[in-house]
Amino acid sequence: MIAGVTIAAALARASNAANRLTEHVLIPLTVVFVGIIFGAVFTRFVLHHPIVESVELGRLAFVWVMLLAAAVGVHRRAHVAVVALRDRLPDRWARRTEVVVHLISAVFGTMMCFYGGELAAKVWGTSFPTLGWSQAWLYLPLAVSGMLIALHGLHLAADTVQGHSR
Amino acid sequence: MMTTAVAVIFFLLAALSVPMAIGLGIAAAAVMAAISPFPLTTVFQRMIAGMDSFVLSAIPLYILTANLMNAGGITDRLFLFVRRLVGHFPGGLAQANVGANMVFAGISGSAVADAGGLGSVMIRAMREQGYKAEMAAGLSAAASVIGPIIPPSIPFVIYGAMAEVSVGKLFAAGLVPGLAIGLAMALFIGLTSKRNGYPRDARSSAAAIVRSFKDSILALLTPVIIVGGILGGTFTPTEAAAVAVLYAFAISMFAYRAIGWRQLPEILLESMVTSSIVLFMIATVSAVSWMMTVEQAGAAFTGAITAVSREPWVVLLLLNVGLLILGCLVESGAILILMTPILLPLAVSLGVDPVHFGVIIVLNLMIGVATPPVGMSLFVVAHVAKIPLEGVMRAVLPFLVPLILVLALVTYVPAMSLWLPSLLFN
Repeated sequence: MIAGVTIAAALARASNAANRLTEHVLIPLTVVFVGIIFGAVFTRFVLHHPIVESVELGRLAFVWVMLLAAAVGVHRRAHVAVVALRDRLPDRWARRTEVVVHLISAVFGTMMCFYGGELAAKVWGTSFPTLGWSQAWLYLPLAVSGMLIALHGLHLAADTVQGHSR
Repeated sequence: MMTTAVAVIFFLLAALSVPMAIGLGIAAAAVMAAISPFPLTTVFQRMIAGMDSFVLSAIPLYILTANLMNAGGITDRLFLFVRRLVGHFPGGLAQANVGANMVFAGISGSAVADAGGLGSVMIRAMREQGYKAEMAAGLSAAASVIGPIIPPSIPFVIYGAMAEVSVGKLFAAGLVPGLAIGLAMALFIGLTSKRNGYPRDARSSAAAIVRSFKDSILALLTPVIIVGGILGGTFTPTEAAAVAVLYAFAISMFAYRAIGWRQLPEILLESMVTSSIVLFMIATVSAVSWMMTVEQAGAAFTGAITAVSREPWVVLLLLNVGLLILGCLVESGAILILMTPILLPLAVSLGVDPVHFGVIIVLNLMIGVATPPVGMSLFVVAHVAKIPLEGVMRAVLPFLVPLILVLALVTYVPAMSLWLPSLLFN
């Protein structure tokens, strides 16, 4: 029981710290993403000198922002789910179901992390046509977001178990 | 076989309350590992392929624009201006609710964002004037359907990316149907206001209208920048969205001084998290869509439907009924992403223009946003009005009548959708 509480507390600390870090990265990254798209318009219309790399750069920033935000969404329990059935269950079973749901999220996060990493390794030697950067940068956010989702899923499962035992 | 297995696993997981995006991903991965000849890596490769799109990157930008406008109190200014204009008509504030939704539709592109942002302002004002809270909330949910039909529109961006149809043409195609919905709802309110005893405002003086116009002129220019920029061929939808973000930021921060630097990080975060809910679902649905394509599920579906009838009007009627029922039961974004690759070949085989079909499918699914039991706008307005969901579900029903009438018109009068795109783009 005490070991369970310690593990839950450690998971909570790790998940909350990782989420804070993600949020701190996400804010400037969003500004960069908006800046790239706006910059493309500005250079084309005002400077009459379009940045050819802006489309690839914008897409890359977009994928990173969305996958990191998806992980924050798991931490905030913001993703769309149908809870009508679970809400009709007795409290004890509703909590058990919730634990299973968070563990399923953790499993999917682990898969994203593993296969995202594998894909990044596979395309390491391939480059974006205009940027010249490795295409691994496109698959890496899948691995990073997956790791965060797995951590948040485990934390939320442990948190729900703690709430249950309390 | 793969598609059926994915559907069974997904519905089981959804019933357990697993988030839809994750449920779809797990279902695709399980089926890929168990019965498909392809490697499991394909699911995750398809997830990235589904998201890696310059067109889709417009989605977070439109959501950010709407959130900056809401936080900047611009919603209140727009509502006040529309109220001054139409508040003296029968059912005054209800009319203003519809009018404000039409104006805000040119800024945001999401029914749920409109229900949340405008809904809170309008429900409060309507309650203060003696409207029942349930009626105000039901109307706000129904009127939010206009948001994604009048450009810009997040569902049109998604459909355009999935169907490889010009988003600019889709935006143009949505304008007339969107205005028709607003007009139909205004007529419906006008006709029923006497029987229901809806109050109305006193007629505003010309000076008051001019004052509120001056107050909201900068906000009113946003749709001009977005819609005008795209339809005029100046910007792509994504570029227009980025320009709109900068414009919304500038007027909220410097012109109206309604937001400060401290609020900005949370607005950015909240907007990106909201967007990621849609985009994460697009990513996992892309894996499922790929499996459907490999299995030629679209061809099988087309065969099954055309076995019933090959008459376009019958098939469109069946599709409308099917989509309306699906929209009542499943989250609209997920259906749009899942069903577009299946339904589009059927529609095209019957001679329906892909742009016209885009308007039909999006309007069907957006009506689903305001329809019990899984209408997202209903949840949002019930939440902001702090009233039980059941009451809102009952109150929204009469307002579905004008929406379904316009849907019938849009379905059977293609010119309503195709006239403007053909004028602007040919």
